Formats: sequence, C-alpha cells, structure tokens
Amino acid sequence: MNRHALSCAVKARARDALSGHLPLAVLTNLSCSAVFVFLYLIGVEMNVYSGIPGFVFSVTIIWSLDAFFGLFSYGLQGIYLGLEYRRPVQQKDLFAGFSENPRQILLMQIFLASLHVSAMLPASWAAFFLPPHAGKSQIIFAVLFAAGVCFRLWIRLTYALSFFLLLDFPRGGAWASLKRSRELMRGYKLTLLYLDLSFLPYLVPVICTFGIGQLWVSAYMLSARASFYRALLAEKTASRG
Amino acid sequence: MNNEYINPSNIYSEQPQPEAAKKLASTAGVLGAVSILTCFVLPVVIPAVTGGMAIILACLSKAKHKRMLPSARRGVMLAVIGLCINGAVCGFSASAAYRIYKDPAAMRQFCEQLKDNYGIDADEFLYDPWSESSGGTL
Repeated sequence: MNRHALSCAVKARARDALSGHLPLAVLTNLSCSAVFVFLYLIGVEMNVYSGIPGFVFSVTIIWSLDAFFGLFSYGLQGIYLGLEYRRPVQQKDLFAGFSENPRQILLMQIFLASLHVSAMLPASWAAFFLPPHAGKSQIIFAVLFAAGVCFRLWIRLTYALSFFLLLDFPRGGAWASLKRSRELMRGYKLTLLYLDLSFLPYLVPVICTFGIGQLWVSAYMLSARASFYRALLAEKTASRG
Repeated sequence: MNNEYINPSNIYSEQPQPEAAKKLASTAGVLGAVSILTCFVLPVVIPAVTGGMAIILACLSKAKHKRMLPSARRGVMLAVIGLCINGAVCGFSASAAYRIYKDPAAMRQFCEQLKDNYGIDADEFLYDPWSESSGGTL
C-alpha cells in the first residue's frame, strides 16, 4: 500500500476522532507530562552518588521509571483507542492501568524498559567512564549513542502496538500482545516511521509556542497511532480473509 | 475493497464539517489575528505563541476533510504574516542591541538619546542589582 496515502488516511481519521474531544486529550497529555516530569525530577534528586554506584543508580532509576510509566501509557493509549472507536472516555481513564490488568501491563513494560535500557547502556557507560575531553572517547560515545538510538527506534517500532493489543485482547496477556505486535508490524515498520516523520513540520509551530503546542500535536500523534493500529488490524484481517 | 484504509480515497468526507471543527477553525482565525495585532503592541512572546497555536489548531480543524475551512485558512495566513513580522522585529532588536553593546560610539549615542527622550540616566537604566559587588552596572 502507498505509504503516503495510508498516512493521509490515518491522519484524517485521527483528526476526526479528536474533533470535539481536544480539550480532554490536551488535559490528559498535560497530566501525563506532569506526572512524568515530577517522577523524573525525584529520580534525579535522589542520585547523590558518583562513579560506579552513581551509574548503577541512574540506570536503575531510568529503568524503574520507564517500567512504572507503562501504567500511565496504558491509560493514555486506552483513551486514544476509545476515541478512535467512538467510545465515551473520561480523564480518569488515564489511571486505568492501575485497576485493569496491572500485572500484565507491568510485565510488558518491564520487558520493554529492559530493552530500552540495554539499547542505551553502552553509550551511558561511555559517558560515565571514558575521559570526557579525549577525541577518541567522544568518537566511541557518538558511535555507541547512534547504535543505541537505532536499536531503540527498532524496538519502539516493533512493539508500538503492544498496548493497543493488550487493550483490545486483554485475555491474551502481555507476551501474546508483544508477539502479535511483532507480527503485525512485520513489513510496516517503515510505514509507521513515515507516519511519525510526517509530523516533523509541526516542530516549527511547536518551537514558536515554546513547547505549549506540543500538547495538541502529541494528542494528534497519539490519535494517529491508534488509527494506524486500527488500519493495520483491518488490513491484516482483510488479507487473511 | 471498501475498507477506507485499504482504499484511502474513501476517507475524505463530503459532509459539512462538525460543529467542533468549525469552532476550532474560528479559534485559529482569532489567534492568527491576535498574532498580527500583538506584533506591534507586545512583540516577541505573545505573537509567537498565538501564531504557532493558530497554525496547529487550523491543521487540526480539517477533521475528515481535505481542505481547511475559510476561517482556518485565514488564521494560518495571518499567523504566518504575524510570525514573519515578529521574527523581523526580534532580529532587528537583537542586531541593534548587539551593535550598541559592541560599538562604544553607538553606546554613547544610545545613552544620550535615553537622557534626552526619557530623562533617564544611562547608569540608572543599566543598573544591575545582582552585580552589586562589581560596581552595580552592566
């Protein structure tokens, strides 16, 4: 399928789903960002160590924050999937991860957080332990960082639909959702990347608004992801039938 | 295949825009106008924020349509003009400040004009309370 045509269709559908629900989406994004920043700042403040203990502590903090934040991601993606399905949603649904299936969500997010952390571990190690002003160590850091970013991007694209799948098929559990996401995304990673990159021009107005506009743009992006999930599910079902 | 995703030409609606999208388009239009107006009254921050928001809201107001509503298009146009004027004002101000800061003759002229037009002494104007220990001036 033509990537551009699919991206336009998905975005049109996302705008339609958001129509009339934009204040709710923006407030939800704001709450989510506030929680994330608060937890992150606490994590940063807690790290008073240096050397190896500092490195271990900071990696552990990043890993545990990422794992814990899965509970919020589940609620957030549930809201956008609800909007996509034209179901009534409320702001309190952001905390749905704490009451619906928290064990499976945490299991899934622990796996994803471990992959995320392991992707950036070599670069973090280089930043912590190599001499900062030596030319050779800067090159090593740059190479490790680029490799880490590429691996992380691959993980994000491969498992992008796992929360949506857990929301739609909760009985399957975490591993089934991760496996299904991997299968669904086979051959569609570049399409999703194209969809994500198509939001790049919005960076200009977001910079103009000193980041405030990001609340609206991320609502649009998340809604487009939910729409993409629905499109992919429809396509795979049609191709099987 | 009738699936609107598999055949994306089906996606765009010909029906009138929903009320929420019309409101969004009107908001974009108003923000675009505010962006131009504030360029001359309160430049830098407010025109940038309102202009940027006008563009984002105008894009979101398209909903399931291919084209924006006229008010949203107007909003984008006004916002782009506002952002350009604001950018020019910022650039001009920054270059003038840099010139005054670097060139002693320009600095002297600036201090004289300040005294003549507003009756303010340059030392009083450029007083920096945070650097009290280093003489109190910038």
